[in-house]
Amino acid sequence: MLTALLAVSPAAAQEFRFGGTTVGQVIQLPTLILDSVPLSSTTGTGSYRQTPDGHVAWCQSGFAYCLYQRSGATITTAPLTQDLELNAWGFGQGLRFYGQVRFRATGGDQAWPLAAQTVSTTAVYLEYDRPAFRARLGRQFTQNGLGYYNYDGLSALWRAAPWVDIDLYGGGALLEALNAPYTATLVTSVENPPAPNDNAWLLGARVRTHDRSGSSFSALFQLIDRNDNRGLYSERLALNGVGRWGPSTITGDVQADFATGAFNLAQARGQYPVARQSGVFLEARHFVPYFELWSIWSVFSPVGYNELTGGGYWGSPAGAVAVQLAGGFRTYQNADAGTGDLRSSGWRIGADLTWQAAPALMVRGGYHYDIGPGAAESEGSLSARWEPNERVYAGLFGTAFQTAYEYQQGYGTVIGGGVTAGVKLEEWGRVAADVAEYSNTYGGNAPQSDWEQFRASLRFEFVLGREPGYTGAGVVR
Amino acid sequence: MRRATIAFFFAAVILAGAAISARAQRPDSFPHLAHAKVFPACTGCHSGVVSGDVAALFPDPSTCSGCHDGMQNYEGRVLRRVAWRGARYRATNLAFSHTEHARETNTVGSTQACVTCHQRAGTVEWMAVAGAAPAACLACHEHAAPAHLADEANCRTCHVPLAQATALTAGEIAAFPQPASHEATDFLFAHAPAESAAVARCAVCHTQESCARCHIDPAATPSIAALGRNAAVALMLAGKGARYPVPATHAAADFTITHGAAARGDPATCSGCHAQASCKTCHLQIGARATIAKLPVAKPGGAQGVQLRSAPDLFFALLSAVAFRAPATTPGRVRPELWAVRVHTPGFARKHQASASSNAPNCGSCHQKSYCADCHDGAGKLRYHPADFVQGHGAQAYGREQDCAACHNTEAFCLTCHQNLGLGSTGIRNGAVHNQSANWLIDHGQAARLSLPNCVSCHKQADCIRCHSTLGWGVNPHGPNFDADRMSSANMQICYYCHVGNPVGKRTR
Repeated sequence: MLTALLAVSPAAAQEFRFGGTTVGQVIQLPTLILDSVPLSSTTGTGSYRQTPDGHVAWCQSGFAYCLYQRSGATITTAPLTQDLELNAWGFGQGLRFYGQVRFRATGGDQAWPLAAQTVSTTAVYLEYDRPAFRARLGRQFTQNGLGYYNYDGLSALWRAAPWVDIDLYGGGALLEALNAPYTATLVTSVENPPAPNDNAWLLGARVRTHDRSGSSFSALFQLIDRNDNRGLYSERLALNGVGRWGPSTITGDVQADFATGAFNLAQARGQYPVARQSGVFLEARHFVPYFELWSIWSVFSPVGYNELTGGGYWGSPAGAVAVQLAGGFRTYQNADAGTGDLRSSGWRIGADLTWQAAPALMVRGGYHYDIGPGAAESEGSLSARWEPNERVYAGLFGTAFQTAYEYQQGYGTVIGGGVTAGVKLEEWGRVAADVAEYSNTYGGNAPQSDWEQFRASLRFEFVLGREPGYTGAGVVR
Repeated sequence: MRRATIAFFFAAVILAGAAISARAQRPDSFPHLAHAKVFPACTGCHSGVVSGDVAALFPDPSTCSGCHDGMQNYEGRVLRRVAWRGARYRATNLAFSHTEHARETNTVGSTQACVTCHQRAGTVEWMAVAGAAPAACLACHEHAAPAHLADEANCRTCHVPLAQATALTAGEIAAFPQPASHEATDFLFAHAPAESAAVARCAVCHTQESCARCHIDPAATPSIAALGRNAAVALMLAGKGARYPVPATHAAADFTITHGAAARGDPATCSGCHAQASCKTCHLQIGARATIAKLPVAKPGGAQGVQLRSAPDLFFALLSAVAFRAPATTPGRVRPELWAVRVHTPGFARKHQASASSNAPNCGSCHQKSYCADCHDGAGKLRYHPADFVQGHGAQAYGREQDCAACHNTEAFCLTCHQNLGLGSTGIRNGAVHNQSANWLIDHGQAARLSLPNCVSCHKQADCIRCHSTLGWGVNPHGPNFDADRMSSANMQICYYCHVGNPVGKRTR
């Protein structure tokens, strides 16, 4: 398509912006393996006993051996991603081609997520954009109040008035957060059966409106239906709004699932700035996990929580110090299942500090604590970043946290840190790297053994060509 | 006689006005008083005042050596030789000509006219002289302003534009007195001259170079272009950075959100301090291009306007809400002060759903559409999570402050990785993973309802169907509010995964 356009258009008017990001990582990861020991070698009584080396083993009556889990070898994986992005225009007023493709390769152990997806096309579309409307044809994505959805099809945006636009889109649906059809092996290989056994088509309609004060509202309906029309995968509504009254801001989000009748999300957040860098906020949130109807998860009637969060942020008048504090309490809906006495409420607190210690030195620190059904985490971090100019930076970062799981054995502690640095290559590129080492220790009969993790990443970005619509050269930030 | 008196009076006043720019009379560099008995008239040495010959405004050194020759004079005194080499004509920006004023006041050659302006204050002796004081000018020339440096003053009555005062050195220009109004904190916000008379006032002390220190495209502003140029001013300002005060409007908490309307309404308000580059720091996309195009483009060597710097990466954007000012200048080159601004409030990266979905502010004016995909595409190129996230993400996933599924496909991302690492369920009921409760099998339903997304990250549906199906143990997994009719109407296919036959007994598609 692009070749054809290039061929028929005057070359002088054609321009492009081509960029890419290469990210290479080396990451060590732990493994867990299922093992067994003779019942006679364990100590204790009942279903849960102890192996000679201290692991908890599960022993079924009538069996001569017990099962337990222990750490396996630490593996090393080296995922490499190459993102390429092309913007090309000048084929005629309002015409633009856009493409974004990601290539993946994984060295070492093939453990990193999506290693099997060697090519992922996020978007490849042709756009015709005029003041009153915009149309796109090809693979594209919509980032809306329901999430991030890719599809192969057509979208038409009508700017009906300066304060309102209407967006209609549809086409072949792709799995949410995955640029692949529903029947892709990425899913069927891990969920078969049951797995999506038919691809689907997607249809969405959205109305957005805004005013000059910055207030806005969006209403979206989106349907994903099986190609064979034998059932829905999804039928949802999203309402999102931002209201500004003077300096105050109130935001609200609603996600409703017509297929199950659930309100997956209903949240409102009010924010009032008491000064330019300081303010307070209060948020109420109702959240229930959402699952598409190609899976059975919705029929398990997952419950969610209601949470009230409040906090504030403060910045010193000179702007050198900024602090944010937040805390929230949540209660979970009645699960109506099981006989146990599992935790049904949670709370979390957090504090973040940013200190501009010197014009070129930024120090950050934070502490967060979160406990609720299933897990608890206490985490602190501290970092310093030296940035003498806009071309280079270097920094140190450290962290320490502890996690404990209600439904699992033991707890874990992680202490680690690393260094990071980056350099800007003129206006067209940037290179950044970081190296870190983390020490993982466990206690409380956790199945894992202590281990050390090394990880490093190298990132290279480049942009060629100019920014459309501007007179200057492209800018890399 | 009366006419002569009037003329004398006017001449005296005009001569006095010649020095109106000085706050006090300049000291006498020549011992006039010591020569009082020698010179009966001023014009003997200062004949240029009458003739208009600037070279003759002061006596030639030979005039001195005529007497100060080291020999005895008629009185028998030896007058020592003097090293005086002639007076240096002091350059000024005064619009005054002794000759013209003398002619206009009919006082040509009048010694008394000289004395009127140049008599040293508080003295009466002949030749006790000093530079003329501005007050002497005002005695005749009506000065509407209450003070010499008042804003209402018509400076051009006595001064030429600085662009014409080319004899002044950079040091002399730098020593110009500054009107009190210029020291007001809000002066820079409203200093643009409103009418031609005001421009003329500015021109007495300022040239284009003065304005070009901060203004990005001074030539495009008529009032600046009218000032003319002066190389000495350029020399004086070399190395001095621009200063851009922050207007009160910018201090509003929502300014970064609402400034667009003001910019569209009157771009000229912005262009005094901002070049296009300022806007493009954030407006990387074309959403605001029409407004931005109305702002000037900074030229090499000229004022660059307010320098904004964007957050260099997501690491900063996530955590920082700090606005700070970097050091102002580097000696020898113009370098404006650096300012950093934060568009979004702290935590916005985690709480931007409403804004992003309803497009307020206009995300597209700053962010490329692919910016969303950088995170939401899962395993994106931006590091949304900290480097240590892999170790602690399990606990955070239980908390669900963020919906993991907004960016990550549970099956392809979570379950696959957990299986690779041995964390995922293999379908074997081993009982060792979860807590040591012998009743876990009974308790797990509560945990599953509370934290189902976490279960899904390790368990396949088949693990559950083994028990929760009519072909398995027949354990009903549905909750009390389960709406079988609604769900079967939406997709009967999922019913068949666990039920043999139609469980709701009605026709569906």
